[in-house]
Amino acid sequence: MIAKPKTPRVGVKAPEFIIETPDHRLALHQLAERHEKLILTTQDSYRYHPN
Amino acid sequence: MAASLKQDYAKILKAKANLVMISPDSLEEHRKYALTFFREELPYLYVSDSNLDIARRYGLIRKEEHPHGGFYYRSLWILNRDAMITYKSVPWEGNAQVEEYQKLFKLIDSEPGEWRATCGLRSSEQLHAS
Repeated sequence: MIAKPKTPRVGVKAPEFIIETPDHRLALHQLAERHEKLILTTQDSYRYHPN
Repeated sequence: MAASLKQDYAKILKAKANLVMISPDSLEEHRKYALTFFREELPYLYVSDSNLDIARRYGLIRKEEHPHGGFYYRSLWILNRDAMITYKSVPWEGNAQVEEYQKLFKLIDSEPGEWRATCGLRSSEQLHAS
């Protein structure tokens, strides 16, 4: 059986990182406050998973 | 996945949301991929996690290599204006299951997304049949 990854819980603050937009360099919470919802999605390198 | 999100990005913005894609590829690799496959840059925001710092803090590094290669989980997170996590899916199967992909659009109160056959998405019925 493969153990589920340990990830931040729903209901907690998302770990911060920096996002470069075409106009700004923003912390995650600064970008989030500009939108009703902010979607983060991650994927592995295109080398392995081009879709 | 990139093809579908590219196509549906306007719907995400229309729902007053935004999308950030994160991967271990460098910005240059990401641009090269987009120009090779789509002949244009992808419209959503992109963050290169080449040192895997984000992957570590979000718990996204696989203990065992994916059968197709790589160690980075595909995942989906939705944050509110306070940057609180309101939804997460790890691993996220939105690339392979249409229902999972559509759930994203329900969660942001958007009209349904569309997906391209070339994107590799399949319905769960097709997955179970194969």
